[in-house]
Amino acid sequence: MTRWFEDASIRWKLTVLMAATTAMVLTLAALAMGTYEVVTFKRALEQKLTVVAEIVGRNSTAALAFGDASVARDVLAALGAEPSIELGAVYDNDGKPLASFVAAGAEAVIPRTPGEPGNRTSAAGMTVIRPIVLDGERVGTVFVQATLGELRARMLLFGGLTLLVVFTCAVVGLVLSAGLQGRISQPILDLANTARLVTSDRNFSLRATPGGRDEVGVLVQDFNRMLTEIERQDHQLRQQQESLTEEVASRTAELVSANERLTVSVKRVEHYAEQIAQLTALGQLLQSCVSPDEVFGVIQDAMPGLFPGDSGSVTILKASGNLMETMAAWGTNPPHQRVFAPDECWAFRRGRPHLVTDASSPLRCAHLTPEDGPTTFCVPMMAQGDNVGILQFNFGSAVHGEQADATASEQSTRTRIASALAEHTALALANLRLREALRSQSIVDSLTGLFNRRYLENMLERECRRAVRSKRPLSVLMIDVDHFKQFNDTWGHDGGDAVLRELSTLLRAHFRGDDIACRYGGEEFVVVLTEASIENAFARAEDLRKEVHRLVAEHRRQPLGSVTVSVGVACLPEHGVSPEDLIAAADRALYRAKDAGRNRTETASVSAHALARFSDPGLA
Amino acid sequence: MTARGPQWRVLPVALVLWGTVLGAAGPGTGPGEGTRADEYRVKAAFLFNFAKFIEWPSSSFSGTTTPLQVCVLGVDPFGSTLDDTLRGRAVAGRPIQVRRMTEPDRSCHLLFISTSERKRLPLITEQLRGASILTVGEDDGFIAAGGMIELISDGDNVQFNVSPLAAERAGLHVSARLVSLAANQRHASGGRR
Repeated sequence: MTRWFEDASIRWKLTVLMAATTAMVLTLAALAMGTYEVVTFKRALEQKLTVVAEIVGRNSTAALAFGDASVARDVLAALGAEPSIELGAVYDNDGKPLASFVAAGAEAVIPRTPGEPGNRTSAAGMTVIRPIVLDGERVGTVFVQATLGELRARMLLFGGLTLLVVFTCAVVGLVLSAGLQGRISQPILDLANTARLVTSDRNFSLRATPGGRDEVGVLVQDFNRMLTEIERQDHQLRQQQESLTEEVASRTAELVSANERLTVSVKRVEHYAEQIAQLTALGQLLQSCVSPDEVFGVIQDAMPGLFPGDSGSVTILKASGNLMETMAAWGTNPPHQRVFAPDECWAFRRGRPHLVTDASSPLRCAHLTPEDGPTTFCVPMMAQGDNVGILQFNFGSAVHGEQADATASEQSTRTRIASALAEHTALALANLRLREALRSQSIVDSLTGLFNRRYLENMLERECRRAVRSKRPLSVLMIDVDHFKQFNDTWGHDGGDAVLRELSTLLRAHFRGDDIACRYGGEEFVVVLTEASIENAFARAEDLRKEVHRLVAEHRRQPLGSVTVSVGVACLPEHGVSPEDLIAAADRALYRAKDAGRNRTETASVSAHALARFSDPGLA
Repeated sequence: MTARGPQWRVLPVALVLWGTVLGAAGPGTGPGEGTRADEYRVKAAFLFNFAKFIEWPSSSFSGTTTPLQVCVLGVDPFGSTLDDTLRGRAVAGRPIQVRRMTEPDRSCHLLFISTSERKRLPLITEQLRGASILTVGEDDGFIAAGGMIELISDGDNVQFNVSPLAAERAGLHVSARLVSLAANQRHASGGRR
């Protein structure tokens, strides 16, 4: 209800308020008048009844005194003149009714006893009870009751009239206020309409129509002032918004370009990372190479991936030291001059990387030709202080850097990687050389794991001297694989190597302790048996030969066929006391075994000279 | 008068009851017994009530509290009933004194003249002329003989006739209310209410 009222138009509210106020005032006035009327009426009625009761009482004293009911009845009959009185009675001192009066048509009944004196008003009506006194003595009681029917009738009439008046006034008020409220509500409605237009159109240039100087007029003026202020601020806001939009656009553009740059950078970083990974893998590959040719092959294979669009070569200083020779080249435009003098290269001379970006530069290496392109880069390959050679690059146009600044960084990255690569290569080559040197200095044969010839020579020298000194015998077995060339021819070198490895395993198993098995070279083996007599040595050689005959060598899971050896036996002192003599004697015995049909053992023929020399120091 | 017929039949009962109450009933008498004692108890109460509706001239009393003299002339029909009824009571502030006599006394205020004096009634009235004494009798023709109030008994039913004129002559004022109750006045005034 209140909600609905709040939402209603001011025009309507004013009208309703006026009508309601009128009705309320009239109702209140009517209520007051009605109340007054009731009170007055009751008071008048009470007074009237009191007087009547008094008269009846006085007039009944004699009748009471002499118990004359008919006289009392006559007195009470006078009550009929007052239409509002419907009951009247006179009681004697014992409370018994002497006489009574009941108005015609009244439904009330005379009470059996009068009750206490006094005035009472109830729904039944107004009752007045008075004592009747004669000469100071109470002789009875008078009872009068009036109906309030008249009061009700009056109130009904009054109420009806009031309603009529109120309704009429409300109608008149409505009609009047409908005309008058416009004076107040119209300016407000105008203002509301303007406000609505301003809100819906967002047009702050609108103004409400100014009215008088009352509150509404002031409100309109303030509203207009507020609109002016809003219009000004709105304008300001729009300007700020525009400038803000521009700023945002420029910032966004900056951000986009920064993002693009970042993307390029990220791509480049990813590329570098990939290059570094490749470089690492390449380094590992290079370290695993067992020959310079493998090194060159690896580089030739990896370079196009590491330096796409570029060309280059690996150029090595020849052992002679006065010639540079290209060993590997890659790319579409590798350096054209493949052989040149070391002095022709700045990088080689200075021992430092040499980048030239101008074909006409005087610092351009002499070994370069015009076809090699404008941008060339030479890196010396230095390892352990030795200048091994150079890596040459003919850089192509920038592939990854689309912009000039990117080209510079790209260039520096390429030179860095190239330098690292040169280092890797140099190291690999140096390692190979070192390995070669080590191999040459080694005492163990790499293929068979047996001692090598050099060790044998040293050891045999020592053992011979010791044997002579201690006058103890020493035997040497020279062992050669029969028809070894056939293995090589049939199964290739790998097959031959397999036979050699099998044989050496058997040798290691067969000879232990102070005995020393060596690979003498090719398919030849030498076993030194310390403190073994010639007979002993021959027996052991025969054991070996037989065991070898039982040997079944396999290559790639295929049996290589029967392996046999021929053995020549030589002894100290019988066949000499020097390693050379012993070896030579054993070798001669071996030849005899070969000549005798292979797969056999022969003992060297005794050299009397040697024997004499041996016995000289006093064997006897 | 014909219209009032039925009412008159009710009245005696009321009067009897009234008498029963007003006179402090003596022993041995029950209500509804038409005994002489009852009749005189009612009559004694009547005497007292008459006094209340009569105005004596102020010269009748020497002071405001001078006792009201109620006298019985001749043979007393009340016995002790009158004394019992009036004992301790007062009229207009005056105590009541009951006296019995054989000769009329002018100092009385209310004089009950017994039927024993019927023969010399005119003489007695003559003797009392000029004196403000209310005379009450119970003889038929008491008023005609110059008396003022005449008690009429018909068994239990006691009524009275009054002669306001005689009372006026004696300087007494009889209240209209009393007059209106009188049987003879009812007849005279008829339908007056």
